[in-house]
Amino acid sequence: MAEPTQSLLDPETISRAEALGINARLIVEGFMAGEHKSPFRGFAIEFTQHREYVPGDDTRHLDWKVLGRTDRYYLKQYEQETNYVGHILIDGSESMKYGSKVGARNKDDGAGIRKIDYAKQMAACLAYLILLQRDATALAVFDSKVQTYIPRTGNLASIHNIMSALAAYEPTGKTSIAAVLHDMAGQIKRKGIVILISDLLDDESGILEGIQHLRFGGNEVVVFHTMDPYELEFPFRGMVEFDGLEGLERQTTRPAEIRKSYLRELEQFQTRLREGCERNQVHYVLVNTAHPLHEVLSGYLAFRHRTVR
Amino acid sequence: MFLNPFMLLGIAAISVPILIHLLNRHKIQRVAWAAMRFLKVSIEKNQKRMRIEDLLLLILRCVILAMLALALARPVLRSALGGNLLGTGGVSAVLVIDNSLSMGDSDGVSTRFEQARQVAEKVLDSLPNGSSAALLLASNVVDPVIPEPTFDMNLLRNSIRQAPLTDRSTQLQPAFVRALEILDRRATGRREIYVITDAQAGGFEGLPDIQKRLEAAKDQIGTHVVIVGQKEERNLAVADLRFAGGIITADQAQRFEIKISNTGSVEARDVKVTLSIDSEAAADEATIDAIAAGEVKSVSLFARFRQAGLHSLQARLSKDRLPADDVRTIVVRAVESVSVLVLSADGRTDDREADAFFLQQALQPVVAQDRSTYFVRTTIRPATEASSLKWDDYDVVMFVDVPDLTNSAADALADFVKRGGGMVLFPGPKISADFYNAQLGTRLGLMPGTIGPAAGDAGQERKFFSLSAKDTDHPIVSIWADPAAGSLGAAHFYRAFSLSPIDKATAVMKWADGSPAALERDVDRGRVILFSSTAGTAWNDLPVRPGLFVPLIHRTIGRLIQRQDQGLNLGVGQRWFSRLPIDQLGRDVVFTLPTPDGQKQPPPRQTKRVELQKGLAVIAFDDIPFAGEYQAKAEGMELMRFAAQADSEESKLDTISDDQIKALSASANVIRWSPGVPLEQSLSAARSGSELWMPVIMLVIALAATETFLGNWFSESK
Repeated sequence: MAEPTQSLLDPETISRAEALGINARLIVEGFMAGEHKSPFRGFAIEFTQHREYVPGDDTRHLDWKVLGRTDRYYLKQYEQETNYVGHILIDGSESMKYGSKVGARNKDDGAGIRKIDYAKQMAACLAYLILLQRDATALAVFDSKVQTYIPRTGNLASIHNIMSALAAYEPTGKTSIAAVLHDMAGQIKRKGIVILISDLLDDESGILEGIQHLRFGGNEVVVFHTMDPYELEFPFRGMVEFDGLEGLERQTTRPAEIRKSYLRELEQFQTRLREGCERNQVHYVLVNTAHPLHEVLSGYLAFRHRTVR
Repeated sequence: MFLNPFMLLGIAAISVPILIHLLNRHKIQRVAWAAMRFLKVSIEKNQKRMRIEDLLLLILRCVILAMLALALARPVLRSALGGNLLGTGGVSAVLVIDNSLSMGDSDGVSTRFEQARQVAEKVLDSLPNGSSAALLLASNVVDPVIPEPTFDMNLLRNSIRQAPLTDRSTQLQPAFVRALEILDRRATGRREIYVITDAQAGGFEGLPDIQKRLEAAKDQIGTHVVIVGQKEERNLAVADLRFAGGIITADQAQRFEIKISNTGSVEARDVKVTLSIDSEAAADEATIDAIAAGEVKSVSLFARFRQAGLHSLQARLSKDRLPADDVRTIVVRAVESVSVLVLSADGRTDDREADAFFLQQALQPVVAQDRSTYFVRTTIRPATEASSLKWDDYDVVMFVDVPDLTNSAADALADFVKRGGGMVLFPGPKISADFYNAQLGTRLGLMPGTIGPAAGDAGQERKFFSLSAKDTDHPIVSIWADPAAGSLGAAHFYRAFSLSPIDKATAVMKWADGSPAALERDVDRGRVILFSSTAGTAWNDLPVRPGLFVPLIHRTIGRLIQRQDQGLNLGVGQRWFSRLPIDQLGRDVVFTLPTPDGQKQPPPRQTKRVELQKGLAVIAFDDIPFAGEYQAKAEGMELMRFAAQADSEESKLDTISDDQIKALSASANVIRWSPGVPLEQSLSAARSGSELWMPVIMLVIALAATETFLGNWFSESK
């Protein structure tokens, strides 16, 4: 795998990065149309002024002290902090290379693109979205350690760097999510939001501990559990030899006959993760790479609008 | 055992699922996979079960293919007889086809015999390659058409198609014996007997013996009895046709008695019977109102023969399903006149005291001027002239109290009798019993009985003895069976000789105490009748009772004349022969056979040669096959005619009982066949055992269904 810096010079990478950027912009602008408020607003904000309440305003923002003293309804108004940081962590391990659409005979039968590509797009979108709000973002692609890191930046123009870095990355190594999360928890100086995009195919208790660590540092954590539709549904027929990515040994079987068992195992895994996340007040979002990215993102962002403050 | 053993090679097809199984291992889709951890756990949990399921399905598929190959090889449950692992092998078979008269019974489409031929051909069809067969036609004789098994199936088929139906009666036991003998000589290989018959009850009289023999041979020889023909409800038969009078003379109406039997199981109504002479239009006819099932009714019809000589006479019913017994033919001789020589001690007939007076009155019961034209011509001679007489000028010689004869005269007389002459002996007080017993009896063998001492007293009229009125079985006295005709017991006998019968002599009349009053004996072609009392009134009053004496004498004459004609009517299957002058030796005689019923063409004429037998020139026809009139003609010879009659028992179409069939089934495979019923298969099955391919196929289907079900179930996600 080429070094990210070298990849930046690669015309193909550049074009891919541009495509990624355009894609991200299209997606973000698409679902931002008509929105007046930042979905990430209110994480770290400072009070600026009051204004009089008009019916329809959110009563949560009423200044109860003013109401108590003056009997008037005023709303507190805030201002976004400009140096709020959105950390985007992308799992770049070899397992993320899996995409059922690759080599699938029928490209429209619900197969998904490679998880890493989906993750890259998602990261690009989120980075663009955060920068668009004049917040800062930092991006890390990791496997057993951080392989590519884009330091914190608040400049929208630096989106190009981010895109390039993402485009140039190709997964090779084994994953060690927990270690990376602990590492990141130690490195993050300013509280922010940590967005983890991964298939989480690692020891789930370690992952949850890492997440807990991040939470302990005061960060908000969002987990996008990115899975291929084939991984979620296991629709294989006939005799299949499964060549384990990340160096796992091969297994030959008739998958149709063990599908239920597989799905049961998967569900238990997801349940453990979801419950662990809920315990740590972390948003756990299961992402099926067969679903369009904008739907996934807009769905989640709408959810955030409803639930966060 | 397998009928198609090469199909067993198909068992090698069980390698197919194994190969598929192995090949499938190489036909694997390869996927680079990330979520190995769930997969691995699932595989670990299910692998053992899947392996067992795989193995089970593999075994099941192999078994299905093996069973399929097995079914195609047509497995059979082996029967006890012959065969080998690589097929059935050739069969040595004996086909016995019943060709008796009853096989001519038709169901309106085909006769039993035609059906039997079909069956025989089907049997040939069913024989495996390399088989040989003999062909016997069975009636009351066994006709070995192909006496030893031949491999020439064309010859067999032709012989079956040309096999003739006969008018013989049935007796199957000899055919069974013959068939067993033929196969006994063949020590190796599979051996089978096929008897194709209508199973007429009469034909199985030797059933216990048949069973015993079949049972003994059962392990080596398989026997199939194929029964053809349906139960016949209606059948009428002309059971008998015979002359009812004394002497058949030309140009006089003669009465014939015809017996019609109903051997069916339902009553027959309005049965028309016709009588015709020499195949001409019916001379007389009658209709019987009703004949109950199983009943025999007699009817008398009259025929007048225009001229003397041999004539055929045919009694006929309208045709039913068994036409062969609806007609009966006899040949009779009508005579212009009968010459009778009366030899008496005195040679007189002029007064009542003369020995032969009453006899001549009885022989010619007409006025004196008509005697010369009367059909019975009598010549009266004294016994002393016996040596100078030509016996052959007469048909019958009557001895009336003749004391004795010279030896030469006695020799000439014996020759006359043996060549067909008739002799009647009336003993009296003048006879020498010694001469009769020693010379005519012991030396010449002419006497029907030994003349013993005379009993009774002729000098008085109080004490007498009488004839038995009941013993009227003999044809001469049969008319007195009807009391309306008078009674034999009416005559008084004062004196008579006691008679003791010799050899095959039969009693014509009996005394009231049961001892013989008159005896009859056939001597070669002639016949002798011996009375025990006088022909005049010296010892009895019989001659003065014309109602008894005239018919008695006429019937006696008739009886002697008929003796000459006895060879004219024979049973089917018997031998006809006739003595000819010695100069005819070596001459060819052409026989014209009757046309069997149902056939348009008469059978081909047969030529036979006059041969020397025991110093005599004899023409013979052996084993008469059909009922009806036969004619024998040779250049310069008078036309000879004779007729054959079928056994009236053959008209009884009852089949052997279910119990008898059951008994026969113990040692033979009894099959009831009717047209259209497939036979080859059941015969093949009997030969090789019952085929098992059907149950095997059912098993294959069941296994295949199980395989499909299990396959689906196993492949369901778990």
